[in-house]
Amino acid sequence: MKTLSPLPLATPEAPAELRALQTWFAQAVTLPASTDKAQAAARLSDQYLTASQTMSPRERLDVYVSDYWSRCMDSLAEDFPGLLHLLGGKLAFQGYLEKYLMAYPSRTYTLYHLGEKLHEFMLQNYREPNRDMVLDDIAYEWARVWALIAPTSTPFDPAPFSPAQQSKLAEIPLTFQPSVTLLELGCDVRPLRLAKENPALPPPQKTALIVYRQNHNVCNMLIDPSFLTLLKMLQSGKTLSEASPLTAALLTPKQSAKLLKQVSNWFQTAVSEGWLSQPVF
Amino acid sequence: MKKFIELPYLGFGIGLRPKHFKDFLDHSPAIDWLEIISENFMFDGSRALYFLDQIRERYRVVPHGVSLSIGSSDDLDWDYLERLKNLVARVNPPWFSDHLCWSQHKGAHMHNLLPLPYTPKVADYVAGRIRMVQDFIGKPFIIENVSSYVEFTGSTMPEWEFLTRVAEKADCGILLDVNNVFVSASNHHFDAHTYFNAVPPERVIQYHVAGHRDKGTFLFDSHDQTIRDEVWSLYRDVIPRFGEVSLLIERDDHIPPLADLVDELNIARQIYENIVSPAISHT
Ligand SMILES: [Fe+2]
Repeated sequence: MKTLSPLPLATPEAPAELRALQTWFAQAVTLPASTDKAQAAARLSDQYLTASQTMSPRERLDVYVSDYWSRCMDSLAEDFPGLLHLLGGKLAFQGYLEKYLMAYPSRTYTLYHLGEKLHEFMLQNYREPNRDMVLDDIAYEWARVWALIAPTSTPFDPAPFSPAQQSKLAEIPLTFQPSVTLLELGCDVRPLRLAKENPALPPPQKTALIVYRQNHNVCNMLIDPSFLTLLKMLQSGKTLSEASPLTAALLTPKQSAKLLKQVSNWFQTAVSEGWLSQPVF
Repeated sequence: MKKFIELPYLGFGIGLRPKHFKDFLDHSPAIDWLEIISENFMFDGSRALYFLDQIRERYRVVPHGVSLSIGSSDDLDWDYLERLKNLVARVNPPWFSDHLCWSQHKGAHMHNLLPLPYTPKVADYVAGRIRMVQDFIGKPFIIENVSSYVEFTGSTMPEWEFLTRVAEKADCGILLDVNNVFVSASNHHFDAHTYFNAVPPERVIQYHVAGHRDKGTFLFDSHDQTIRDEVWSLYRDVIPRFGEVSLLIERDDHIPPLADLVDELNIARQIYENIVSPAISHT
């Protein structure tokens, strides 16, 4: 490649007229058409755009408006098909999601992150009777997207551990792969996203679920609620020796005895399913 | 046709899409090279990267971005560029590409290839940013013309002059999307040949061809169907001017079986051979 001339140290300053045009265009395209601001922006079409032989400036602008909204809605519907059912179909889904995108415009260059703040938004704004199920569903469906795009850390591998290190495993903090999400749900929302239309609603039932990535695929597993409690304690930085008695203390004596017997099996599951990262001694 | 820098001729390729990942590994179809949407391969540990690592052992792969937002008045996104640099290092392509457009404003992403006002000032601004990107990534960059549906009252020059000025001032190559020129020519009522005749041939390194939709009052660059005869005809027309230029078929929606895309690629190959060496291909 040819030698280039020396580079400026900072990004060049954008021409003022470019900045003004982009501010206008972004408002006109990304604000829902029903808002005053979007309508005010659209009224300026004639100032910024020329007509073609077949279309007015406003009609030409609308190509970008509808493209933006259909792209965002298609992407969100693909990531949250269960939510689409729960909100009562496409129209209602679009109504909520328009408000969501206004409050939380896309901040990254991929559409994968578009639903990142949806749980937060609906927690603040959704008050319908099926609120708990809606929030559970969003948590689950976002966990699936996240499992797809989360970074990877070095997987847990006991092979290089010395016997002394092996014996200390219960005494050091264990970290999870970034793709892992631990979910405590009021019902099993998983079938919702698989339904074609008008799915039967899942009955209320405490559901402990882990969503994670394994061999480049998104996986989930129903787990014992006590196991979830234990994993949450590990996730908060407790060691296995600290977390086990703390979890047991939350249970009846009989359950607690059972739990302490199962801890080592659970630990094996966590390792074999690839939920843990390599610990640092 | 001598190009502005020495770059390999890659032949006839298609855009690699997830639907075909396994086909490439199982059958290694006879396709000269592949283009990937850069942003889909910027996640560590993703399924896409897992397949890419195997596919790139058999095919030449070139990253083609959609989110560089080179024409934005926002600062360049250095986190994005760092990820792009890692991807480029991973696939070691002869060049990398993105679009002459903007897609981000005040940190908000519009996930679209938005057109720019065509003025010398904006061209020079964009060219300055391309130089920075090209230098940071450390590989030749080629810039693609986009389809557009609006024209700005503030534009003072035609798109082909704007593209030429950007490429020359940035000292970068051009990815000439034949379909995009066709779509914009129809939407803005200019002659596509005027466009092609104004673009400096030594800078055209790659073509895109793709399908579009007729929406009645305008053409829409949908990339969701077969390439129209009018676009093939334009491709035929431009071959003598631009010489040996790597070609790539883009398909982003309603993606057909790989064999159908190979058939389309063979149309392109046939057109090229008929123009370049008619005596051989007609015997
Ligand atoms: Fe293209």
